[in-house]
Amino acid sequence: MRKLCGYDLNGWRDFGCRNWLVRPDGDEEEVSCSVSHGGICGVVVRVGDGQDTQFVGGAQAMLAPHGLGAGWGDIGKEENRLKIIDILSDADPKVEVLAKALTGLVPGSGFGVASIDDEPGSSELLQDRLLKALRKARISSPLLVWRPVLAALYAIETGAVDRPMKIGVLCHSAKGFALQTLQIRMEGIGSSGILAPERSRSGEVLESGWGYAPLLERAHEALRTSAMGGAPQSIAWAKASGRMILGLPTQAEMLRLDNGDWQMLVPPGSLPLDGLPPPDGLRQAFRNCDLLLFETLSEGVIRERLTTLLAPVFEKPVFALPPDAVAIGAMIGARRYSSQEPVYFDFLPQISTIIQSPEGPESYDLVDPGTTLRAGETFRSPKPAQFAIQAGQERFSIYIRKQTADRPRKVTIRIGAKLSKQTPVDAWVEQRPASGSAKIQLMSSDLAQQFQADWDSAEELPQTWEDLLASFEKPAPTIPSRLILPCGMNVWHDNARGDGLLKIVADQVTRAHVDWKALADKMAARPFGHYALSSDGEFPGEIDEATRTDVHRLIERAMAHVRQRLAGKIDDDNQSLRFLTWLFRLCPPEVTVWLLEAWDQQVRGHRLMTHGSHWKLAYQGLGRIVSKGSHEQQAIHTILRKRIDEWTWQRETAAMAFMLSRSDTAPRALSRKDVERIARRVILEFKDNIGSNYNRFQYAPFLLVGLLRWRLVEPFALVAGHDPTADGLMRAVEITLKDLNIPSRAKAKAKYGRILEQVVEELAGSGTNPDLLLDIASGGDDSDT
Amino acid sequence: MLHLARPWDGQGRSAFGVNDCLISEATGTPPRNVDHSVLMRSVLRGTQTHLLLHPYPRKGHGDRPPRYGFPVRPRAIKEQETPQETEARACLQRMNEVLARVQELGDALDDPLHVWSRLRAAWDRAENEENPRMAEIVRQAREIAPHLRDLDARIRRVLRRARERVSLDRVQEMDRASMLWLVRQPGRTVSERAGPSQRMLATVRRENFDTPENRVLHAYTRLASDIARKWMKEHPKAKASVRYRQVEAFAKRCNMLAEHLMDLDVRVADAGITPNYVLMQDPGYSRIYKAWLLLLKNELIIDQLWAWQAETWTDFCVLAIVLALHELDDAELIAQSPIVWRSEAILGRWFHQDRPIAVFWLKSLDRIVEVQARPEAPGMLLGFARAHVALRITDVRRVELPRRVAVWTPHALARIDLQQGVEQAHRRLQDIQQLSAAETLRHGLILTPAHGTAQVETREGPRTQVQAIALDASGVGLRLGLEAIRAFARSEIYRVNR
Repeated sequence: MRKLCGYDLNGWRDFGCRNWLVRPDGDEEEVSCSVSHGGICGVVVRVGDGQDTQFVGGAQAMLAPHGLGAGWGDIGKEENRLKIIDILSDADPKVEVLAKALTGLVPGSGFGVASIDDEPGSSELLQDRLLKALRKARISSPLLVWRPVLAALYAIETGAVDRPMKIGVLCHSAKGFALQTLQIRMEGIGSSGILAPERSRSGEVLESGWGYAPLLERAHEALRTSAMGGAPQSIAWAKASGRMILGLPTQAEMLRLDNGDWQMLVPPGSLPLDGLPPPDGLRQAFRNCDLLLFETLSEGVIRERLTTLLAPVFEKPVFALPPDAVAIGAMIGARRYSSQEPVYFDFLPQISTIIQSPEGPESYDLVDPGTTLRAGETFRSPKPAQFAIQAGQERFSIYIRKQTADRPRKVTIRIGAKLSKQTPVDAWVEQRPASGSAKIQLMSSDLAQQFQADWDSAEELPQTWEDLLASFEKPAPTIPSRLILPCGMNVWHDNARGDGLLKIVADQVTRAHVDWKALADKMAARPFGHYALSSDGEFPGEIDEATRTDVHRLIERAMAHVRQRLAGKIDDDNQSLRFLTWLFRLCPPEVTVWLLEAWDQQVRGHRLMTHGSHWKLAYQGLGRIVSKGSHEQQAIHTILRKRIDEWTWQRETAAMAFMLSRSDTAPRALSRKDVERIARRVILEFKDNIGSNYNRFQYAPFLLVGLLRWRLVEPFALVAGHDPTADGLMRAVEITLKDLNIPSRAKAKAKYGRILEQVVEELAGSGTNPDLLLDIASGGDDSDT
Repeated sequence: MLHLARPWDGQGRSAFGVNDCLISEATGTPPRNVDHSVLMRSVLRGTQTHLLLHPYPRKGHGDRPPRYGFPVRPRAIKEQETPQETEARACLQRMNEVLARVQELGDALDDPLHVWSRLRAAWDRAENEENPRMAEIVRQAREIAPHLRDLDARIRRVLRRARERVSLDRVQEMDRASMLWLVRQPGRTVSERAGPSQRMLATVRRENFDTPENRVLHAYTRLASDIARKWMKEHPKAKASVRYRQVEAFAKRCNMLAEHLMDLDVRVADAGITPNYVLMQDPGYSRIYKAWLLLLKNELIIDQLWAWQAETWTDFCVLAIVLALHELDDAELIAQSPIVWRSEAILGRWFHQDRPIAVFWLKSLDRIVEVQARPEAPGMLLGFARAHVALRITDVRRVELPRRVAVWTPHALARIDLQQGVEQAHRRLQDIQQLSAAETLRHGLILTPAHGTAQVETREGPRTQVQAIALDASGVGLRLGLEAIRAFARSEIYRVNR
């Protein structure tokens, strides 16, 4: 025998139903259906004391004197008696109490189905606790099913619904009436076909004075009147009030007063129902239905009055179900569940999150719209939402909206360690109909870790989902433009101080001994902010072809000169090399190779770099001329191999600043870890200049703003408030700005104050000056003279 | 501490014998080094007094308090039994019947709305001795028999390695010992070493049934067969019942399977073995394992039940009183503390129940009757009466003083002399009348085991009255006893106070 249980735990009139009985001789007997009554306005009582305390529900609890007042001694204390309606509406219902309320109806075994109210705001926590309670009640295969669905199952079983159709179900509820429409589907073909209800939306509530709760208030009032002021505390627990609201005949009952005396309560025969208006709006709600099922726990006068009121409202037939229909329907559901037949089909409430698409933030539905699921089946998002966690984060947040909740929530998940790189995360939903909260799972294959977003502990947000989306619709953080130092004709033309570069080039190109110093000085000069060549190695447009050819000839000669020096054939100074480095990217890549080799020989010494200042040329020169991505990568990694506190502001800092600020490829050579190291160097540079006259501050802003160009790689990186590294940089800039406010730093403030203010804006991701690097270059001076 | 042979006795004694109820009265804190359970606490003449119950000794005698000459609980069934053993077996049967009646409450709780009517139906059934009592072995006879049939056809076997001398062409596997054996044999080749029989020591695999799960199965079949035989012996008049036949068939199947397992050289598992995977996961074996543990546990707790059977008797008497009141025509049960059934008895008690046990409202008389057992605040009168069960009858209109009816539930392994008991109890009630209290206690009821001879004795004085009822927990003794209790309840509750 497969044991089946059905529960209708509603707090007003609880029923249980099962398919077996224990005979008085102790043997078990299989029956088609045995209904147990849990009592009217059911309670759970606390019995025993100390460690032996436990809860008892069902008919035994109804008879218990626990919690009925001081007249019963210690057990009469109020806390020993819990109303089931209070337990079901509790924000945190206790599993143990619910389990005892269930086992008080029917001892659990095998397959069990319990009813839940189909009303908006039906608590997922309650569903979760009820499922746990069913398991605690030793039901190995529990299932929760909506009341209207159970009513429909009863109607199908009794033959009232015998073909596919659309039915309306009107459930008498605490507040009034719960309205639901169900589509009855035929599953299977021919003789194996079975009718099953399909639910496609949440039920609605129609508040009415006919609800159990308003009726109970009327009943209490009527009892108080009839008791003439005696034993008011006991009237609250009088059985008569429950019987009156359900239309059952009342009888005299004996109440115990606080002093231990007894008092007889003679209740009115029935509940006064004067002035109760008929429920309104029902015709519209059920206009497309073929049949209406009316489910109420009441009997007698109440049931008759309600049926009389409802009948003229509908043109279609109204089928009034018996009070225990839901419990019997639950057992029918358990039988279907045990034999793997469809119990019912349900829709899933939508769950959405916010993702960042190329078009901006957008709401992403984790549940396919229109998904209908068989009871007991688990849905899993077919296509997970994909997020990226920014590097450097120890936690991340996702935003979730549920169709069943008014407000979205923000779930914060701790990763447990700082991420070294941007990490993709997939989010999906696992959900079973009417089975408590959906599981929102997050999985990162890179982290090999799975997280669960807990809706209940998430922070509820005050704004609506649409407002939240709108708040995210802001542009991506700005990226400072690449620095291109401009070129102009001022250097090329003669001026009062001497000849221009045109004349010098024409003069030197034919000489046996070229004056490399004169050439290098002219190339490095920047009158009116313009070099002879741009930092991309371009000539001004006005330069004719002959001059260009001359320059190229000079470049070849300079190359030959350096080669001979490297070979040790001639002994000369570094002016030819200096000339080459001031050609910026016009300089042949071979020079970059020489300089990189020189960097590698810094410790043991290099033929050309015999003096400390020569290394400044080696580093800054390379920063100026490097044009190939592979060379940039090599240079960056060579610098990053050194400890950041060993960097020199004019060498490593300057070279790194030049590369990051003037190249689109250099930032791409950096990993997150590299960025963090460089950021620490930036902070060090800023810190070192605090209290000084800012003579050594020249390259720090370049390096910082150049570093922000890493947003080319990760568009949302290094934004203060979101990235801890950016927060550190922001702090450093703010401290420097504060330091610059000291009167003695007026000169430095004039030079860097405005720039640093704009750097702050860039760090915040909302830079207003795209040519910030150019402005830094204009204000500062990166010449090596 | 005053050791009392009967709760109403005025004189104490130095040691308990088989005819005595093992009750003591201790003033102040009860001594810790004495086996006891507290039946009732009361304040008598300003002194805290405890009414204590001592257990029956397991070995026939015991110290603290001194107890001598008690029967020992019979264990195995013997072909020839001494008169003492026969008497002990009769005691055990009586205890089992009382247990069965109390356990029927557990079954009745399956439908909490109709507990008392279901219990009534079960007890009605017990009045007919052709209906054997429910027991764990009966349940197992029904539920385990299919599993035994299934396992009989598929007893698990394993292939075990053994070392044997096998012919050369059959050698498949050799272990270290086989190789050592081989090198010690004379000869240059393997063939020479194999000797004239051409056999050598090698590892072979043999089918073996002596696995932990089969040992448990073997232990279970033996134990179940033994318990089934004991149960059948207790119900000689029920041979025609379906239940008896089921248990008989089950015992036979267990015997056959046990013999089969013995033929397969399967040993018997010791109690307390660690279950292996098969015992945990195989549906058939795990069911057998659980059933075996249950029977073992029952065998263990039966010692405790034997020792504390006087407590079980009290619960039985309380149930009988509640049933009698429940059957009164105009009585409505208005309050009853929930009965929490325990999976195993604690000090002879199978269920926990807060006070009050049951409160009835007699509508025609406007009286409230409360059944009290082991009351927390018994009051002075009950304390003096040493009755830990009582009825409290209150007039709702407060016209009469509340009155109590003392209920003594003396239990002894030998039959109590009812005539003598009723006289002595009546005398104690008369003594109590000199005390002044806010309630009255003039009537008493003695409920004691009948040992096969149901009897009712009454002693009536000018203001006081005591009735003694000897009843059994099954058969005619139960029927007559319940009728007497019903009659007493009717007379007592409808009595008009003088």
